Amino acid sequence: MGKRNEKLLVVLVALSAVAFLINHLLWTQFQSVLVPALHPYLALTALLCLALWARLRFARLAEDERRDQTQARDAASPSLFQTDENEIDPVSFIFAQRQYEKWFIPFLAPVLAVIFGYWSYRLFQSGFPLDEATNLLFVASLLIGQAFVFFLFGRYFLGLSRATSDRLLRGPGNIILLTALAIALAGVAAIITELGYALPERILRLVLIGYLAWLSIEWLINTIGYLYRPKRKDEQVVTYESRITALLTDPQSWANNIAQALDYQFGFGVSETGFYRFLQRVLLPLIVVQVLLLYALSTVVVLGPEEEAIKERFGNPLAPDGTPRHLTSGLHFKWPWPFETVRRHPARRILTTHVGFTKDPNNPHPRLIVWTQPHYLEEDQFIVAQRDVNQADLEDDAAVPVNFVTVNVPIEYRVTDLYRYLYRHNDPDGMLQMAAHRVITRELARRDLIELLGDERQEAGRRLFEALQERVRDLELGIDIVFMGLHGAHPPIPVGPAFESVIGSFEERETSILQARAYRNRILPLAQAEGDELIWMARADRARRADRASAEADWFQTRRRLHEDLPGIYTPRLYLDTVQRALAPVRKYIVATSPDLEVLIFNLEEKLRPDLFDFGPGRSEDMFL
Amino acid sequence: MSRNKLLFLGGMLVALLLIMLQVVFIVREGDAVVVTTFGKPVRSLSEAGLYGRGPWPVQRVYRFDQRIQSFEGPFEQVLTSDGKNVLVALYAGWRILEPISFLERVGSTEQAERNLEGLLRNYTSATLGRYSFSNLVNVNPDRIRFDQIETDILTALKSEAEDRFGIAVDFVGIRRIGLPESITERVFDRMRAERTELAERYRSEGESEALRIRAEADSQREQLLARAAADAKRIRAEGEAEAAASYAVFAEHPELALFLRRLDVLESVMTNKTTVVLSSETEPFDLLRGAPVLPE
Repeated sequence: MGKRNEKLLVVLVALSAVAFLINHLLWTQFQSVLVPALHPYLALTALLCLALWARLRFARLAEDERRDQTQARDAASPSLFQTDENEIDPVSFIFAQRQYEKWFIPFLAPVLAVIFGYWSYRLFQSGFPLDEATNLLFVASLLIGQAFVFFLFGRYFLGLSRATSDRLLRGPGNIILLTALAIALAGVAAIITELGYALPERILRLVLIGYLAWLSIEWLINTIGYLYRPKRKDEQVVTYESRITALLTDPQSWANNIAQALDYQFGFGVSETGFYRFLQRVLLPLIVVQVLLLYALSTVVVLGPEEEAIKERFGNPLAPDGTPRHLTSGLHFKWPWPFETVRRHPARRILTTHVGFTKDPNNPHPRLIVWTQPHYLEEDQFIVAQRDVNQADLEDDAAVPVNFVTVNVPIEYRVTDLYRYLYRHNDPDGMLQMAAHRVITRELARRDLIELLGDERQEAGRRLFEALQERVRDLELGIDIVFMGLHGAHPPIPVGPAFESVIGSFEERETSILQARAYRNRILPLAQAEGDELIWMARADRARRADRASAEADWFQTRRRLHEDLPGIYTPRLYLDTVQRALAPVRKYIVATSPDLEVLIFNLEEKLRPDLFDFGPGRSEDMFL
Repeated sequence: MSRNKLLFLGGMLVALLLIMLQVVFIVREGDAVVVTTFGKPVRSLSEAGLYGRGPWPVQRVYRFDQRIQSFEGPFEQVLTSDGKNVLVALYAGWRILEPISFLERVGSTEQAERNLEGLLRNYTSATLGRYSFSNLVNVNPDRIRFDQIETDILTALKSEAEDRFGIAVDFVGIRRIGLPESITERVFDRMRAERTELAERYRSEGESEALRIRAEADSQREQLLARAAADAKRIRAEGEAEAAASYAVFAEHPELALFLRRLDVLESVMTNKTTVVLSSETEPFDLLRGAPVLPE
């Protein structure tokens, strides 16, 4: 039994190496992106089988040696130089086995963790290589064949490991089954990729790399647990085994665990009941029936209200009469894959695309759109001509001045001929975009910027719509343009402020004029009032002068009459009264001598002290002065 | 049916499927397929349907998309006949014409596009070198030559692509026109200058109009005030005339009038600050020299 296991392990190592080489050839020849992710699983299988082969071989040879030593000891007579039973010969297999168990097996798990952790990291770093795989069906058939062989070995090893004596086979058995599962999934993914769906292959690659990383972590955890927990004397070290992998690759153990859990929960042997046994018996047929039902469902096609489809029989969408096998919304039946397939499309829905800008994923629908701030991630600049006032004088080849304009053109379209839409062009939506770009470039190249932003905008939009409609008909895209709008035509962002400044300057002009009008409105009424004031003052002056003159005339007449009535009396009295009033407040020097004979010197700079009489009552004003 | 039989049946089905996948294949509408026997192309298929084949490594199937594929050339700088630098991006619609030639000479769509790019760039430069910039951008649509340029490039490109690569170029279009970055900046500068010129014109118009309004207002004000001042003067003159009419009575006794006026003046000029030196002969200070003898 022991030797047979060793031989099987050697066969497994050789098989893994051959599979590794075959897969490497598949990678170099057919470029399947999944194959490099299978390499570490095959290498792990080979390494574990090799390590276990050495372990079993050392154990078997050590056991033989112990048996021989026991027999020799029993046959030999006692002597002075008899060796101790516990003493071990350093060149014996017993010593080698002990050293192997003590120094190699416990450290196998961390070594594997380092190797395969780094391998998974390198695979992850390599990203997704360009998938240029060819002949994937052949690759898939080889992979599934490999998976089948590994599956047989894995199941055999797990079966043996249920016996206590072969317990050590469980770890490699689980890893062999894990490798078989990985290879089988890779084969299925290759078939799906061949059918045109590359996503499962890419997801599986990530899963395989991630699982390898997880294995590395689990090996490290196992080693730490082994080092720090109490150990039995005869305990075998199996830190390289993976419990998660065991759950994944040995579903029977799941069933046993579930049965045990049910028995424990219900307090009696549920797993012994007839219903449980019936369930266990029909489970696999049920799964098979489910798979067949799922396959049968591929004969039913349900198209939504917005959908239309073309049915292909062995890839041919045309019926014998040459018309496409066109399906509209509703329930339809077809032969199952791969006999008939359906290409569906939301042909009745109005589809939308846009030209001239790239939306910002963080702000796809900006709420504020101004000329001076970028409102999309990227905006295309189109060249527009500039109408020169001297255009008529230019020669034919004379270059006209140009401007740039940014336009946002939304396009709504509908698929009108699904057969042409699906089979005429590889990328009809991309082609529509290019055609729209062409039409816009041509139309704008003959427009003047200011006219385009002004009164010609609507006409330019109409011409764009007609030109694009005509172009998609020429290209036989199978679509009809429903709407094409010339939205957001504006100068490029760098010159936006200059355009805004024109509007600002227009406002400034109006402001200046209005301020001047305000000035006029302020000063003219004031001037009118000032003029009126002058006139009124003049009128007052005229009246004052006239009244004063009249009063003075009356005053004169009265005094004249008094002078005539009182000759020699009135005038002197008047004179003296006046002298009295005039001289009363002033300082007077009366010179008694004749002034002709005296020389009088007055120092008028000397400040005269006022005396009490200087502060008499003031003079009453003459009303006529 | 026992579990083992079921598993065996499932395994057989899977094996049968794998074998079938090696001996038959489907050509879908829009696909072109080339079958090789020990590497030698033996047949090409473009009609959709189910076909048989030998298993690998005897026969291999190469599958290509034969629908019209869009190819977008680079946004490349070229020189027009009048020496203007212009950036032009073209696109082309192409499809596989001869699948076997395509497999032998090109091999993949990516390689075909690389080859096509070289041809497109070559003929774009050559063709645009014969046209002037005004044939690309002009407010006069009669001078624009887009159609001729596209036709010239397509004519040159078509035959060479067929002969060399086994692909048919169905159409070529000018997708975009631009100017190099440095020239674009100059265009922006000019656009800004134009706007500035317009803005300054508006501002200047505003200022001049404002100045005119202010001047007119000032003028009207001055006129108003001048007219008012003249009227005022006239009215004052009338006042003086009226006053003069009243003063006519003074002429009847001018000595008295003058005497009375002198009294007024005397009284009005005497203030607190005035110092008067008088002779004792001055009335009434002559009384200081002695009382006069009054007549009986």
